[in-house]
Amino acid sequence: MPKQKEYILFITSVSNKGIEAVNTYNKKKGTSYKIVVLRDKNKKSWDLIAKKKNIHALLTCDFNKPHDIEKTLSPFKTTIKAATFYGDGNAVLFAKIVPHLPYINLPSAQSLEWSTDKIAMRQLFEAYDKTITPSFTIVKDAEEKSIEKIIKKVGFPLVIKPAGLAASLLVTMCYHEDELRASLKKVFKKIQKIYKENNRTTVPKLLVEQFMEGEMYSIDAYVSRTGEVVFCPLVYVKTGKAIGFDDFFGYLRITPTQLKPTTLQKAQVVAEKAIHAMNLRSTVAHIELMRTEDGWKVIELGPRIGGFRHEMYALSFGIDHSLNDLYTRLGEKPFVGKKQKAFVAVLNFYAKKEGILKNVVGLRKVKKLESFQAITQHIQTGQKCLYAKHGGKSVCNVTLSHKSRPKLLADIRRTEQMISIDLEEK
Amino acid sequence: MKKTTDNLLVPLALVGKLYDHMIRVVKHVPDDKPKKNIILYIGKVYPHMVEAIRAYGKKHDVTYRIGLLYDPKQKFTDQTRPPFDDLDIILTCDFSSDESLQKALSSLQDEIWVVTVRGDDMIPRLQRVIPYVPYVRTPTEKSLSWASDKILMRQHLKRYNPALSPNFLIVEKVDKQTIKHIEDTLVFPVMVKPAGLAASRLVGMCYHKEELESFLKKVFKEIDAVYQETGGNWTPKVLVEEFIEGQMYSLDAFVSPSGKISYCPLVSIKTGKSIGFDDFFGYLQMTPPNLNTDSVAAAEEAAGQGIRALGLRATTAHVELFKTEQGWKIIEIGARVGGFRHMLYEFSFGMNHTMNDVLTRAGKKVDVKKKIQGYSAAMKFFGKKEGKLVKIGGIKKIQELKSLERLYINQKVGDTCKFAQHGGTSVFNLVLFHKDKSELLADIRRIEQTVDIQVE
Repeated sequence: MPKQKEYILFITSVSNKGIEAVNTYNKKKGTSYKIVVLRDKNKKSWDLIAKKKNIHALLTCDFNKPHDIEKTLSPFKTTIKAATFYGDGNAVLFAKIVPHLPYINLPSAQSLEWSTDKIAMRQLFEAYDKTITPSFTIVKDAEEKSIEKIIKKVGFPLVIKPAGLAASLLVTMCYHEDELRASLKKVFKKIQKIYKENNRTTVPKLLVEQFMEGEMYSIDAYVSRTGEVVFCPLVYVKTGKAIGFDDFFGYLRITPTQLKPTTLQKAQVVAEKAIHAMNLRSTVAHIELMRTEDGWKVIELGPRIGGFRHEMYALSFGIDHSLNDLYTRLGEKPFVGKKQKAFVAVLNFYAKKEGILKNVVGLRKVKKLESFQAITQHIQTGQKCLYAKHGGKSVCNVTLSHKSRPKLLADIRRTEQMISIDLEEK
Repeated sequence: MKKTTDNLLVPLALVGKLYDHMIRVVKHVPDDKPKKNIILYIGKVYPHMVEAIRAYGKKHDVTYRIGLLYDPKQKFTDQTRPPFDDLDIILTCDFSSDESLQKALSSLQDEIWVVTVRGDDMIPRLQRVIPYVPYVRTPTEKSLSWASDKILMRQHLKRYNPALSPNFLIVEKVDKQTIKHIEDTLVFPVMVKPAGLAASRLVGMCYHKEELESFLKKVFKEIDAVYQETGGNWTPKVLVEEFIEGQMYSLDAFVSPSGKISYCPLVSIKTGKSIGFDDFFGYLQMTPPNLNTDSVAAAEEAAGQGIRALGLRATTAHVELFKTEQGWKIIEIGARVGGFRHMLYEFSFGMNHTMNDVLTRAGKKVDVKKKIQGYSAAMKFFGKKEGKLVKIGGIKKIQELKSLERLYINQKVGDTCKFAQHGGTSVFNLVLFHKDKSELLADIRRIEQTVDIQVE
C-alpha cells in the first residue's frame, strides 16, 4: 500500500523561506511533507502564486464559520502533521483552526487569542508577575470618567494602544491631559471607522499604559509542547522616536547586541515569564522588551516569528529560523547555533513627512556597499507615504551584514547619508 | 607654712600680669587688619551669582565682598555684562602681563578669601592668577591645564584607570599615515574633538575612513579661526577617540582643598543627536534622573576617580559621563560649575550652587541637598539647518507655561544660525521646573510642539 501523503499546513500564505524550510526538513529527515495553504475566502485570490510556488493544495474557507473550516480541512485532518503561519495578522486566523486539529502539537486557541489582544496580554502579565509590566488601564470611551481613571491609574507620559489592531497602528503617546483628550477622541473615531469597514461588532477598547523609559530590544524564542523555551539572540531596536520622529516604528534593528551575558540572562528570564504568562506552547514567540532602570519589562509578545528575524538570525548565527519554527511545531528540538558569523542590521526608512512619494534617491549606491544584503521598496513613486502610527509602511528596508561591527556601523551611516526620500511638493 | 614677704612677691607679679591682660581685653583697639572676605571672580560674574552670595551672607550674618578681575579689552554683551554696580571690588588687568597681574592683586593678597571662575574660557585666566594669590586655597595650575585640555585629560584618566575612558589618539595633522594609524589603532565609530575648545565646538562623529579624513581636514581648517575667535592660544591638536555607546549624564562635585568630594545629584542629558540633529549639543538636561541607588553610587565612584586622576582640589568639578554596558565612562571633566546647574540644583533640591562653589574653594563645608523638591530641565533650541534666522515662533505660548522659570533668547531675526559643532550658539534656552515630573514632561512636549525656528 502506498504511503499516505502527509502535510504541513500554512495559514493564508507561505513564503519562499517556508517552502525552503519544508524542503530542508524533508531532505534532512527523509520525509516527504507537502505544503497545504488554507486561506480565508474573503482575501485576495492567491491561486496564481500558489501555482507558481508549486503548492500541493490551496484551500479556501470562511474563517468565521467553524463548519466551513471543518469541511475544508476534513480531507487532510489526519494527515496534517504541523500547522504554522507567518505575520502578525495571521495569528487570529490561526487561532480559529486550532480546535479543528486536535491531534497535532499546537498552542491553545485561547493562548493565541490572549497573545493577540494587547489588553488580555497586559492583564495576564500583571497576574503572572507585576514587575514585568508597566501600570495600565482599559477604556471604552473618551468620557470624563475614563480620563479621570487614566490620570489616576496610569499618569503621564502614557501610551494609547488600540486593542486588536496591528503593529503600531494608532499607537499614540500623550504627555498631558489636553493631548490625552484629543488623542482619545481621534483614536476612537478611527477605530470605529476601521471596525465598521471590517464588519466588527465588538466594542472597541483602548489599552492605556505608562510610558517606559529605556532601550528597546526584542527576542524570538521557540516554545516546546511542554513549555521549555529556547532563545534566539537578542536584537537591539532603535525606534523612530530616537531619531526625531513622533512615531514608534522600528527604525534600526541590530544583532547581536553588546550586552553582557548577565544582562542577557535577565532579559531571557523576563521573556520566559511573558511566554508562560500567555500559556503558550508549541510555537515561536516574538517578545519586545524594554530595558529600564528598574529592570527588564515586556512591551508586547506575539505568537509568531518576529519581522526580519529569518534573515537576521541566518546571517548572524546561521540559524534557520523557519526550519526551527517547523521543528518546534513538529515537537522536535530547534537548532540554535551559538557561533557568531556576522553582525546584522535592518533599517526601515520612512519619509520625514507624510505625503506622495516623488522619488527615493540612493538605492543604487546602497547596493554597492560591502555590507549590503537586500533592499525592499514597499512604496512606489506616486503612492502615499504615511507614518506607522497612521497605518503606513516603510518606504524601503535595507538589510546589511558584516563580520566587523565597526564596518557595519560605517555602512549604516553611509546608507543613512545615501538614502533620501523626496515627496511631492504640496 | 608661715608667710614671708618673699613668697608674697610671686602672687603680686601674677596679679599685675592679669591686670595688664584684662586692660588689653577691655580696651577697644581698632582692628586695622583687613578682613579676608573677598570672593574674586575671574573674567565673568553674573547677577544671579551676586544675589546668591548676598542671600547666603544675609542668612548666615556674614559680609562678603564680591570682586571681579577682568581684562579691559574683554567685550561684554547684554547677557554677559557683569553687574558692575552691585560689585564691591572691580579690578582690571592684562592677564598676559605678570606686571599687570601683580599690580592688580598684590594689595589685596591678604583680603582675598576665594578666587573662582565661571565658564571654560576663563580657566586659563584663573591659572594666570593663581601664583599671585599665594594665601588663597586654589587648585594647582597644572591640574587646571589637565582639566582644560581634552588630550591631557584623557592621558591622565588613562594612566589612573584605563577603564575610565575610551581608547584615543592625538592628531596634529591630516595625512594618509595619520588616517591609517587611526584606522589601525582605534575601532570605528570615532569621536573627533579638538583640544582646548569648549562644549561641542567642532566635535564630530565619524563612522569610516573617508568621513574621518574629510572631517579632520575641515576641523584643522576651521580650528585656527575658532582659536582666534575664542582667544585660544594652544597648538592645534585634535583628539580622536572611540565612540562610547550609552546614555549620557553629568554631575557637579565639590572638591575640598584636602580632596574630599561631595557629589551633587546626576543630570540626564539628551543630545541633539537623539532628536535628529547631526550635532552633539546638550538638547535636554533633566534632574533628578531615573537612576537607582546602585547606578548613582557607581557614577559617583567613576566621577571621583576622574577628579583624582586630574589632581583637582579646592574647586567645583563638572563631570560628563556615559552609562554603558561596561560601566560608567568619563566623557570630560571641567574644573568649574556646569552650565545651568545653579538653576537645576536650586529648583530641584534647594541648593545654593554658587555659594557651594565658593565654600568648597575656601575649604568650608558645602551644603549638598538630596531631598527632591521637584523636577527641572534646561533646553537648548537650534535651527534645524544653518543659515539666516527668519522667525522664532512659539515664544509667547512658551511664556504661558507653568513650568517655565527662565527664557534666554540668544539670537535675533537676521542673525546667522550655526550648529554647535560649527561654533554656533543656540537660538534660545529655557529652564523649566515643576514639582510633578509628568507635568514637566508635558510642558516639554508642549514646547517641542510649539517651537518654530525658521532659517533660510
